[in-house]
Amino acid sequence: MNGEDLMEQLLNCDQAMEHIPLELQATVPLPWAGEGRAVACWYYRLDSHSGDVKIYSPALRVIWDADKMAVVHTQTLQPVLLGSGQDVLGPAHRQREDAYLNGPLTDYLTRGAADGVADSWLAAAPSALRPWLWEALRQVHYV
Amino acid sequence: MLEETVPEIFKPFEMTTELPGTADPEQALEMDEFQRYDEAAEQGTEAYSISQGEYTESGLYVPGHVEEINPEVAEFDPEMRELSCELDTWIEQKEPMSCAVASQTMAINQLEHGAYSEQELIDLARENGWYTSNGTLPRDVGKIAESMGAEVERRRGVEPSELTLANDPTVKVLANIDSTLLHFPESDKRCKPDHCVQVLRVENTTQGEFVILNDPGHEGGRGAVYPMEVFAKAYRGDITTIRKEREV
Repeated sequence: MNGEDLMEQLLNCDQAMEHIPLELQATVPLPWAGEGRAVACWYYRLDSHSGDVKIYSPALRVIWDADKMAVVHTQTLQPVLLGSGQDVLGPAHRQREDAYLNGPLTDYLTRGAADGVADSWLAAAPSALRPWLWEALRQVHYV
Repeated sequence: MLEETVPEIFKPFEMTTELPGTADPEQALEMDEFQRYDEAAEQGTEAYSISQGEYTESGLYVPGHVEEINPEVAEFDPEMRELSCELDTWIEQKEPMSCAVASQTMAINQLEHGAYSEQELIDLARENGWYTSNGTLPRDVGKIAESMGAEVERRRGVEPSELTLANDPTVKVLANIDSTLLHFPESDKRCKPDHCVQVLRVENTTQGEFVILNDPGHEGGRGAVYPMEVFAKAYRGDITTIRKEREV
């Protein structure tokens, strides 16, 4: 399984239908400490109904067992408006996501190599979300 | 004598035929209207008129709208009559994450000719754990309608071309779509549905295929018209169908 496949499965598997509210978007998965191949995703709201794109801090963090496609742990968070999420519309954001999924994440999934993965993972997140995510990783001594 | 002894069901069946318009003045009027409808159809009268959608400079797609349904057509065409009813029941969602509740409110009110408010159904959904401040789990879309006696089916992998099933007046179709991609179809964003809308109709015309939605997400969501290629970018095949099963 490569990173792109994992992302697709995390968005569409049965467990996602049972645990992740429809209205939330997902970060790309981050390798996480745990048995087997664990990954973490943060789920957040992107609001484009008014014609511009606003992004909120995550409402949910979920730790997944990527081998079983099973939810291991969920944490509910209090979302706040972070600012513009307009950058998710551009090609650069998608290129950073794809580069991360096909590079560092695939390396982790195929060879277990997760060193230095946090930087490219943060770079693949919407820009307004990065400081919030960096702080979340700092609090658990990931960075 | 025979009349008194033969049971009712064995009496000879008398079929009376009366040509429409020959006896009943109301029927005569209906026949006249039908002829006018027929003539209008022959002349290519539109069942409804729609305004044109357009892109803004920022890449936002502003959808067209169903402006008016021809009342003469609606009188004789059950699909157009239902479309008219569906447009009348459009509501804008009351809470940022209540799109699935709002969509079900519309569908239930259409099937039942009811007047449920979204707030009533938000309260019902909250009590049952089908709706929280973070929204609705995909598996729970349709649970409100189900609890009220409707026949609900959640389907995945439904092709855009299959959405013509929404044209059936007895079926209400809710679709999960990526709202950012619906508003900004030229964007490179990965498609991840985050919004629930009602698909009212899919039309195939000489100008192309288009989809008519009741989108509870914004004030311009009533009868919003999108070209199929725009809609398809935001759609991954997840729908919920709602049919009237028994009295609710």
